[in-house]
Amino acid sequence: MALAEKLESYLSGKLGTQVRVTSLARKSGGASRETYLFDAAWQEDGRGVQRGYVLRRDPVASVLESDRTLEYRVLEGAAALGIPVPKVCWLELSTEPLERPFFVMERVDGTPTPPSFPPAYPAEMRARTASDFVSILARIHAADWRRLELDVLDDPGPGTEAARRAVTHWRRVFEQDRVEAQPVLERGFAWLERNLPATEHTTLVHGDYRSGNYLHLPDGRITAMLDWEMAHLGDPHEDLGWATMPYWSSAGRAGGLEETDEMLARYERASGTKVDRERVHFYQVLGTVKMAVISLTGVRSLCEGRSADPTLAVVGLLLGRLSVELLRLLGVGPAGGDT
Amino acid sequence: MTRPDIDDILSGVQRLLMNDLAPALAEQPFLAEQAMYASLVLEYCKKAWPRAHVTLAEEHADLRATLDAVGRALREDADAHERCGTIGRALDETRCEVASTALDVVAAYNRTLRAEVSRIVTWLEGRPASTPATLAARAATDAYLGRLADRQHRELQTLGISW
Repeated sequence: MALAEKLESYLSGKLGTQVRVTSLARKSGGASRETYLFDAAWQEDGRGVQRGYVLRRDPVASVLESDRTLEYRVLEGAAALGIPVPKVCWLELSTEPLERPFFVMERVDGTPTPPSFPPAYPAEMRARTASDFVSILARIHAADWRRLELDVLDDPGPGTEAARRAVTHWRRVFEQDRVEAQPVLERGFAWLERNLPATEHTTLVHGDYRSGNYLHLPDGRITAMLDWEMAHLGDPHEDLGWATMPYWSSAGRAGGLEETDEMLARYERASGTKVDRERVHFYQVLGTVKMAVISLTGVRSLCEGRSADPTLAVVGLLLGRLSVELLRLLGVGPAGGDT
Repeated sequence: MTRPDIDDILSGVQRLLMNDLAPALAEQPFLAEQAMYASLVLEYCKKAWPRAHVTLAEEHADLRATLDAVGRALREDADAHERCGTIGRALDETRCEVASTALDVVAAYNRTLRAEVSRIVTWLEGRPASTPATLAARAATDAYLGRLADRQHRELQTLGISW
């Protein structure tokens, strides 16, 4: 049975009526899940209903092993906090309906951007997106996550534990997934382990907050933040470091949106909190290491024959750029010194 | 190498992907895009293959010179005898005439030597940072890391895309 038919069967069971699925199309991208768009139509109280949905299904092999239950519940929670996210509808952990676990969410108006906001887009549009990008992040960090009873999230508490957990997590993935020695990343991890910063309080951290992970309207307004699979509790500077790290930058602008200093100043105004620049730097280093480790996970999938995705070969080559950026952040190289 | 050489063969596969398979997959844009990426990877192989022996030889020489410099820096350090021993063994086990050695063998030797550099990077972290031996050894490994990153970056630029 084709995927569309299996989906029809599943949704018909969930809605208690015959559902017709059309325009099912897989989208490229998506680090950890296969993403499909589709329309579903059914009869309700004697009238026709048609809605657009997104199916997020676990892949055979991925660059990122993540928990779809966590992603689903965090999306539910974020919506309850008034953060713009797609409305989640069904979570299915059984492999019976579609061979692999998945969840379905409603489609949101808007178009995605590449990982860096395109420089060719109008300046007014970029300014609007930059404003929304930062104000939504401030709202995420200000959210009272305790209200959500997100017991899947574990609070590291104040102090260095949030940073230690993040470094330890990515060190573990690194040890597990590298297929050969990576001395540049060893240097990066050593620096991170020596420089763990303390946080005063923990917040909800998106974990992949950057250009490329939101939908926007033609005027630049952001309609939804996507890809919450790495969400956790931690230091809010982690999202700031990730969003402003060199890898997502273009034309001297963080995420292609605005200069890092401008973005951090905007965040301070939006959040009413002071940004610790040294901590942002720590999390830029962590982000660069994390991105490199994610690419190594893809390389392992390719080398072990678990994936035929040719983009994983490209992802592996990205290590070159990440290594250069990491050494620059650490001050290692001709112009640097030990930090 | 006689014709068809690697370039001819990979170019043929690229034509199949782009001229025949991708158009036939027009109704399945995701798969058509995968065909395009597969062709892009083959383009990288075409560009990387003719330089592979140069790249491997360059890295082999760099790794040996780096480990040699680290070994010399640590020779007078009483706590580094064991480390110097493993460096010496790694250098001995991977000694070869690169020009007459198969590429996959040189690549394996380079992995062995890179793993030794990696262990030294970690080992140096646990050492007093300000001793002359540590400073000299770290300067040698840091300089190597910079050259390694530059070489990896050049490989990415060969691909000719940003991501």
